Amino acid sequence: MSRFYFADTGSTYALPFILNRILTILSLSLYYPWERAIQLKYIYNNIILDGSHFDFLGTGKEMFYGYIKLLVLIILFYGGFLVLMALDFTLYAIMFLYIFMAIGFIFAIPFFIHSGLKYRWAKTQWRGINFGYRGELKEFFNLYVKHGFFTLITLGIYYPWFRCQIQKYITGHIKFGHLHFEFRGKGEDYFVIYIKFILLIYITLGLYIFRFWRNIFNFFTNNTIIVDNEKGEKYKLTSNVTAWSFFELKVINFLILIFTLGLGFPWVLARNMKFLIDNIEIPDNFTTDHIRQTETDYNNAVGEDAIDMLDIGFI
Amino acid sequence: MAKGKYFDGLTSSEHEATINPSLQRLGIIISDPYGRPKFLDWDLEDIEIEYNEFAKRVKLENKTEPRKRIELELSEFLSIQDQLPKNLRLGIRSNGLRKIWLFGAISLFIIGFLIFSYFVMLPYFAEKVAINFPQSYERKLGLSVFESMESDLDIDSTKSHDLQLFFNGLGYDESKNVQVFYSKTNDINAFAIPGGFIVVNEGLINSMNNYKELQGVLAHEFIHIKHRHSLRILFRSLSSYLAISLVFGDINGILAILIQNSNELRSLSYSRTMETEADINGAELMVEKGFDPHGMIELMETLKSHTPNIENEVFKYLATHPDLDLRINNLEKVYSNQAKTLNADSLISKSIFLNLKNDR
Repeated sequence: MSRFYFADTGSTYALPFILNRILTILSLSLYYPWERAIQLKYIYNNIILDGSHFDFLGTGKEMFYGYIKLLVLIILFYGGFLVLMALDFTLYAIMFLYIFMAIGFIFAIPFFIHSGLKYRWAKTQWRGINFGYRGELKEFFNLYVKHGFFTLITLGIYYPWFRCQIQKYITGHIKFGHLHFEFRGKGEDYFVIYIKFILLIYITLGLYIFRFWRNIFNFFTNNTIIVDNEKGEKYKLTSNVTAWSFFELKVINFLILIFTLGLGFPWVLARNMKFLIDNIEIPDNFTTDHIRQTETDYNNAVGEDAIDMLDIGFI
Repeated sequence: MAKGKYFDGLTSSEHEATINPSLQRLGIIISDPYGRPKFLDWDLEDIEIEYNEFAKRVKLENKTEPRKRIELELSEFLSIQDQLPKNLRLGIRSNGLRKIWLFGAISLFIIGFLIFSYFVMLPYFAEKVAINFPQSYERKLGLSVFESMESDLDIDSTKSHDLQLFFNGLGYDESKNVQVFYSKTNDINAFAIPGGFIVVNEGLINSMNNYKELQGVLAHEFIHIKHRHSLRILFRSLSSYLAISLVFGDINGILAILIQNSNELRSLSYSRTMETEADINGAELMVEKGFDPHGMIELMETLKSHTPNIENEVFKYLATHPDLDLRINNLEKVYSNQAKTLNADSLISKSIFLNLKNDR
């Protein structure tokens, strides 16, 4: 049996999913943080490493505060428009104000990512050993704005380098007890993946998308390294997914959702997680029974849901 | 005695553990890395219990730092549960089967409630809103619809005037200020726009055999306006759309579009019942005003003779106007024995009709 795998097919999440979805709808989405907490618990508890499951220790209550703050921001953003219209502001004044606010929102993204990472990793545990994210907001913010600016003035050409810098910073600050991680991906390699995509996507009538997804998945996995400073060892993660397996995953997921009118979501979620986790291979010489506890708890829920909304996935 | 796994909170090493509860304490035997037994002793006061429903494990955590824990399979824990104080027992939550029944019952109830709200409450409220929608707004809405269509309709103002006279002579108009238009379009059709606009096509009038059919058409369209059918459809589909996006909004865009389209079919069948309503109530109105309701039936016969025969079941379902035979049957059931009453106005109506039809 594999050392690292996802243990469920989706069936144990089916009932909690229906019940929580209904509660979220009936509560006009106020219940959503609790639904999300249960979903994360389900995902984490079914990720098995060397026979032990992961734990998500976060609660709906903690995430609720962050969610409310975000909800208020969104209501202000859209509601403000109606109020300004009612106050007979000219359209130009409102447009100016909103462009201004949109720029402010762009600057808020690194803040959301940062607090989301801090919260999520602080609440992640395996055999009682805490994970943690030790990135500094100021450093991350500067990095994000600097490379974001390059991306903007090069009309997006710089994006692969931007993405690698961000990934390098985030991965480099994730702790798992005394272990930490490293990301070695180079912008130029990522750039080549994009160039191939642009050249081949039309010739292959779009079918190249599956190979493109495979390339991205392999790029991020194969460039991630676990570092054990006490032993002086580094362990490289590997992945060998194929374009065909991506095709199979996406098409069957699509069919499940269509034919169950969305009620098959738990199975789709489990299939996605299984694909993600089962395809990451940990080297045999990496042993897990000596990891020392080093991280302490951290409590601040802001950003947890912003991460969800921005759809920035991390394991 | 129960077997589980012990984690010391300092490292990730996993120890096989045997636990033995007594009155005040929890005795734990673990084996150290060299395989030698080691005895631990936890104060029950320090212990917190948590059942993990997805991992199906019970976690006993010792709150004193560093936080240590023992994880047990549910069945192992249940075998020693009775020896523990009440606050360290799993309540009703541990009863897996009962819990699933409870979940099932609650979700069934809620799903039932949702279905009830979607199919009963939602239409009810949409109806209420449509009925209470201010008439002046309805008029504005209709006017803008009419204006946007006007150039395509090719309205004949002289004939529209005659048609208006014909309509006024029927006495259908109560508080609604209905305007009737004659369109020089060849389609065999007539339609009503909210706010009180009726358009009758030249094609339809020319295919009619007598003025009673025109009375029927106007009665039918007048009922559409009087009962605010368009507004009801509008609010009905708006509210369904809202409910659907609330339920499936964040799952899949394509899914939403698919469901929306299937909802479109429902809206169509909704307007089929409205068509029937317009037929029956229209005929009733004709009787009430002293006209011959057979005009309505003759109108259907005329329409039928100009409609290509559609035998296909699929098309029958998709058609907005229910099968004409069915409509004729519905009307004949009620009016086959009705005397052919004639109104004093009918001669004037007849002459206007002939004028409209022949003056090409």
